[in-house]
Amino acid sequence: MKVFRLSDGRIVQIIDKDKIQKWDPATPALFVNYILDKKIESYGSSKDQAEIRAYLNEILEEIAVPKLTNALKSPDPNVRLTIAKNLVDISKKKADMVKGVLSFLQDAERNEKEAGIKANIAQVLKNYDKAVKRKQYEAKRKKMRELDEMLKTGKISADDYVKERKEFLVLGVETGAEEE
Amino acid sequence: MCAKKAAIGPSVDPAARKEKAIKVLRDAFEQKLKETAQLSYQLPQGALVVDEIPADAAFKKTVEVAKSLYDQIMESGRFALDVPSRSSTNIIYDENNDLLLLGEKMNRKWFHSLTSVEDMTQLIKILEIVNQLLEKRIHATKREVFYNDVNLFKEQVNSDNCIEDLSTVLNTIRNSTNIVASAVGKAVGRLRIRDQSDIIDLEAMGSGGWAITPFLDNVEIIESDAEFVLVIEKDAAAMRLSEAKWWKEYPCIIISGRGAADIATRMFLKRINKILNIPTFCLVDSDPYGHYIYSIYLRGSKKLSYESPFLATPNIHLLGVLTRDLDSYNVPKECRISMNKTDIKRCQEMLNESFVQKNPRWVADLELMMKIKEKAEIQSLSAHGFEYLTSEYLPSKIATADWI
Repeated sequence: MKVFRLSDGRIVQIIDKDKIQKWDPATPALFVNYILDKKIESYGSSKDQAEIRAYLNEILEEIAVPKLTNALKSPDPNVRLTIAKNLVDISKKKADMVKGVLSFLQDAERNEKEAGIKANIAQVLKNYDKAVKRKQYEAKRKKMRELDEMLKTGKISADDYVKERKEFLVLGVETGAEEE
Repeated sequence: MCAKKAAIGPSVDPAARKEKAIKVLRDAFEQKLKETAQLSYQLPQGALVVDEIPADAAFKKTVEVAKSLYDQIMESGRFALDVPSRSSTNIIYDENNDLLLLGEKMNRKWFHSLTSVEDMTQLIKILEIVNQLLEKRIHATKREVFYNDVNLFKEQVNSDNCIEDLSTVLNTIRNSTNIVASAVGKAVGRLRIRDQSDIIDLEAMGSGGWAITPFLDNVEIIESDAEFVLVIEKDAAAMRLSEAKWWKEYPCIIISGRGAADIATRMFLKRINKILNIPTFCLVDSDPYGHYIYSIYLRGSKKLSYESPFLATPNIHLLGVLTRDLDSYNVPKECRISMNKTDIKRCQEMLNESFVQKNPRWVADLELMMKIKEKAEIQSLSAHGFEYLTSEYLPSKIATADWI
């Protein structure tokens, strides 16, 4: 493990690059994205975070991106199909995880000739998009409760309320979520 | 029900004590890192070399064994297999590393012999099953293996013995044969793991924690900001810490063995200890069985001595509940239980063990136990209040480095 001693005395340990090198093509990028998304903010000062970000960038540049792009550009359609299917599974369970590889997937979708593989990559992007919209929908749902109260007390005009309500309903349809 | 009593001792500033505890842990971590850097583990002379190997290597080994049997049959029509003896006379205590290991004594099992034909048939069947599991990259439990041919094995103890025999024949550990035992342990706290392409955060598993999987070959430690590991015998005590999210205040990983430690739990603990190099502590009942459970984590069991290097955690410390803690932490008399004959016998057996005798602090605590003939559960500390364990006992034990 690579040991980081933070300025407040805490210790953070992150898996060594040589071990990540043995992972399947999709996981290193997902791992980097996971740490950046969920953990980095808890890693002490901005100086500490910068040091860990630098290590994550090394993983991204030296391992994650080459592995992913090699797999997505592989001449063997089975390799491309396997990784696309893996990414579909991951995006179904935790769509946030594919955030860091979106640009590679968009390129791959554009360049892919095999319909089956193209459809899988498109599904990953769709799952991510849907998850983003679902988050927006949840935030909007919360906001609508406040707006309902504001409408009752006359703190918001009926026109403004209707505008917000329409956006909420559209998001609900797009995400397939039911109205509360 | 124990009477509630006030905790003893002068009032301590919790923040100052926490700071001291964290300093003790960080010093222990730096010391352990230094020791690990200097460590070069060498098996003692005459010990069987056993390795944890990937599925493809284990598969090749099963094919090699089958081929050697085939060659013997083609050559002489008779065949035998050399199986390392797992009897107590072939168990070596590695004093330097505090491990129980298997010696190199072999038993030759002949197929054309009335005494061993049944054993051999069962063993060959296990070889076939393991070969199939490894080829298909799937796992099976010991129970499933038994049910694969009930007429042949008759009782599960026979298939279990053959599984262990085959592991030693292949010079590997049982997990490398893709035969696993069901696991009961749980883990929670500051640890992130990878299970194939899933990333699992052990801080986000609810108060129940992550059920330790028997398929540990799929699991990898990927990130942690823990500074120590706490293994707890009792699930009730682990739940107390989990509910309080104790790892947030004291950066740790909590493992609940739920009684006697199963293989997966011990292997997972060993892996954390080896990879993260952080101090590791054990919290058990203050009784001979608690000390025995600690010894299993520490140096492995005699039954699975050939797997000790992969299951034992030789630098785990016994944090509590020590016999001397009963008075130091004022465990009320009504919460203590008199030791019975079995307890006294087990305590004496522990005192006779060579790995205990080389640790004077351990001997002293067991001798005190023999003297006062009293035992107490971890939960007896709650006589001082339900939060006493998390807010007083554990912080104080760590801050004063009071462990064995």
